[in-house]
Amino acid sequence: MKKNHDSTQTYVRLATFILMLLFVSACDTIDKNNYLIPMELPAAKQKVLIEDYTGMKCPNCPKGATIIDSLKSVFGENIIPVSIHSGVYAQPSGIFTKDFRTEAGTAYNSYFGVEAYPTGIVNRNLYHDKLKLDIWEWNGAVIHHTTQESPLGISISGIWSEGNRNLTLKIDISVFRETTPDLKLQVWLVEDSIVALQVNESKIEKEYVHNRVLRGAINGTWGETLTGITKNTIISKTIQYNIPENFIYEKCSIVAFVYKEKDKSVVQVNELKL
Amino acid sequence: MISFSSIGQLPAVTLKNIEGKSIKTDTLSNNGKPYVICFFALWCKPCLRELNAISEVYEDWQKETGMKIFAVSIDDGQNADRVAPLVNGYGWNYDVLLDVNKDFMRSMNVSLIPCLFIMDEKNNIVKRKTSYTDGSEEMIIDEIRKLLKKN
Amino acid sequence: MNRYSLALLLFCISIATVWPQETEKKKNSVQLTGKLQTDIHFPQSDDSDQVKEYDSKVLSNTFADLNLNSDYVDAGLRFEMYKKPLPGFEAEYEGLGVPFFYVKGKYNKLQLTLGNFYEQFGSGLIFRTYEDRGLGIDNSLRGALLTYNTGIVNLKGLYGYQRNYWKYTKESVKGLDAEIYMSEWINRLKENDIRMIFGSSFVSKYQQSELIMASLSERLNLPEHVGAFASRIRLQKNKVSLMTEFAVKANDPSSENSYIYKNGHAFLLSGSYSRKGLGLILQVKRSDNMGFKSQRTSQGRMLNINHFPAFCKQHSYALAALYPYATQANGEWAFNSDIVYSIKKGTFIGGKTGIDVNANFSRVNAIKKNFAYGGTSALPGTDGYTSGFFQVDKEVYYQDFNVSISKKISKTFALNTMYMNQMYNQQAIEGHANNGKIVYSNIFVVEGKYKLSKKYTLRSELQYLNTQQDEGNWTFGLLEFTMLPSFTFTVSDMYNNGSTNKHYYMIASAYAHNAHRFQLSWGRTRAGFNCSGGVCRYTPESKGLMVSYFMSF
Repeated sequence: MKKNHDSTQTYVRLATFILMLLFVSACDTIDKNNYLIPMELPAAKQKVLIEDYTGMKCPNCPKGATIIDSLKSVFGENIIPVSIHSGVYAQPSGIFTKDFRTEAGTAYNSYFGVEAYPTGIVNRNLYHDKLKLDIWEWNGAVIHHTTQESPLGISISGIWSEGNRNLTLKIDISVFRETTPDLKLQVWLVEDSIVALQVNESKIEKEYVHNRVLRGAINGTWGETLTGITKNTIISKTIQYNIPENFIYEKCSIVAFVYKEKDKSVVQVNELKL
Repeated sequence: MISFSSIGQLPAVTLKNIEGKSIKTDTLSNNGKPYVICFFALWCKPCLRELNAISEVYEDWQKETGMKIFAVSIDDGQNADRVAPLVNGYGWNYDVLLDVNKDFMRSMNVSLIPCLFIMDEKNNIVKRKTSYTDGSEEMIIDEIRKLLKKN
Repeated sequence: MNRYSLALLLFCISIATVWPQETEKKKNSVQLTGKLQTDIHFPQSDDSDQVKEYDSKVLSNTFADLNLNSDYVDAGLRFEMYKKPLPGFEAEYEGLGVPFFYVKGKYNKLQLTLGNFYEQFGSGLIFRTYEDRGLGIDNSLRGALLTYNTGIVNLKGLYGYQRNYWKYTKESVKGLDAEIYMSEWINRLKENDIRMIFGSSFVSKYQQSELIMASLSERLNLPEHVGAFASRIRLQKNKVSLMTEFAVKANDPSSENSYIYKNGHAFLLSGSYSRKGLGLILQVKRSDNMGFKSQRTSQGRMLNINHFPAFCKQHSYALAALYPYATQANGEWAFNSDIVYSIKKGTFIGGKTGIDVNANFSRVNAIKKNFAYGGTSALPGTDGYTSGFFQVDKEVYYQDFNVSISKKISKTFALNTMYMNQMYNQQAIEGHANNGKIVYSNIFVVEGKYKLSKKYTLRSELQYLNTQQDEGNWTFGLLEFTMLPSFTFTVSDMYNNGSTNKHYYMIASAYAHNAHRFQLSWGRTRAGFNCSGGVCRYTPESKGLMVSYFMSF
């Protein structure tokens, strides 16, 4: 009698085990021909800022730069990329003598806790619950953020005086809709086409063209606070800036963006090529 | 440990010994005599020093008191496979158990090794010893002698 | 109701249900145990530009555990506090709370745990959740774990969500493991004194699909359920033991492998021979694309479902551990061998007290990857690469040959010497190399222990690392004075005589009594990788006072 009881118990247990096995055996295998799904890009409704944290000695960074180039070719002026040289790979050493680090760039690197390179941050906004993005996520993040609508518009114009290297910038922020009051304006100087060394995977390229390099924050590392943000108003800011000697005016551009104080997320961005 | 009973109980964790048998830790005992549970790892130098030092006098201790040592290794993954040959290489005679995921270590509230517990015949923890300093293994046999005297 | 109240409530319920119970088998007994661990660092600024500036005068990591054990129910919780965490711990750790709690019901051979749990299947190739406070790792699952252990058949089934700093993932993991002690079942094995254990496990993770672009016109068709299967056999007879395990992981495009659809494979083979006074081990491992995380976009130490330990010796001597190896998830071919031999006392070489000899050789190479179209890296949305089983790449990740000899010279003096030759691929392991891709070094260690009297012992270490790469040569000296039964005082200095000429000094004193341990140390610590089991954490250079306290009850 007892033996039967024992064997029934064993069978019950075996059955439960098999049931559990079935429950656990969930496994999707994707057929080789179906790895990719064609997708049409949704229309872009706003411009997007993408910060590429990089360095001269970073072997995987040129791959990131290539992805940004392809994003630029598709989105055109709707994407504003800026390369921020910071961290251990941007530190000059040995044959890498140029120093593209900036006080502002290092502050952002430290604030966002960037430790791996290249890291991208799109509009300083979350994508898939992450702020710091891997290069394969940049495409998705840019596509996602360009479909959002901004409550503001930014237009930039400038007057350049070559003699004393003085640049007078006029930035107009148009407020279309109600939005949070704690906004700040950040203005950056960015320079293109700088030829210098760059590590590219296992090689060192002597004549690599560095584009859109952050050269400095014109109105302070964290910008200036905006006041009087109400619907249907235009806030104007005039900024005087002296472009240092070593930056070539013709290759520079100005990037201006408005961001929320509390989470640093970008609300609108625009660029002016000088 | 705050206990509401005079009969202690070791947590029930399923481990393997180096002979490949499944051992449940709540069944550890030494036939009514005191015993020691000693946590170690192959990378922990003080642990190896302590167990080597005891190894030299283990036979004498056993003859005198009948005590026994369960050496529990917390080496993980395939490092656990290195325990048996290394233990034999050192010439230890202890019962060695493999706690590959630190389950027993956690349940005994051990954070740092070496750490050993002197257990009486009723499975109560009599003394807990953390860290090893040369010559401190003498304390173990002293405690066990005290326990035997009590009975 | 917030988390703390929930945990406390579960705790109280367990006490209440357990208290009045009478059982026929065991006497009613309830035990309350726990431990407290705290490390507090007071950072000091330094002239060196390497030392980070902190915005707080005190940095600390604190853990407090409480466990309740009784005949039928166990319960426990852990309180953690990182009020401005220790150097090297990223900002996401900051906070305090009860991130870990559980209730466990035990009946006969069954155990059901609800809440957080740690578990490992086999060697951990497809599932291992564990805790390592020094590295800040806690990848426990919160859910349910059911185990059934007869000693002949051990079954485990689990389901849960993984811990991610102070939150839990939306993604889930389920797993099943069966282990059969064949020798208890098959009499023929028992008669021939052969021990055989067979085990098999299956693990599956679920994550909703998301938008990840392979290019600007194509998105990835992502698998939502990703499964992995592993199987193992262990054979033991007398002095010989053999263990083999293999694992397969289905398509798992993730950030770690550049979103390729290739399956993952792992193979492990380990053989050993041991008898009194001699131990010999030979181990071989191949892993290919076996990173397994619960979130496909996650990078770094967190959210790993499995664990591949470093296939080489973990060193404790300071300079031998200067360049520790970190397991490369994307593929390795590794070999490890150890021999431990005790030359008996009374023999000619052994002398009066015998000599212990320990030799170890390990080597890890990359696997040869044949990328599509002759490229040099994997493209997302493809199979990535092919790699034959025996194809070992020329690239060496790590090699370590070391020999150590210990001998008791006299009743009061013991000597331990070690020589080590190491190859460390800094470019591959750390992501950047300072001065030469591979660091070739020779390390010499001499350790002496003087028993001054019954109460006092003096231990000293002298180490030297010679290399032409990275920062050059290093010298290390240590003096440790111990006073029985509880007091230790240590002074040490690590000096770089290669290029920086910096001193990394440390003065420490420790007091240990029963279940209490208190340590006070002051000095400057070099920036470096603190590794355990192949997982590493980078700690920046730091200087200051460190107070550590540990107690348990």
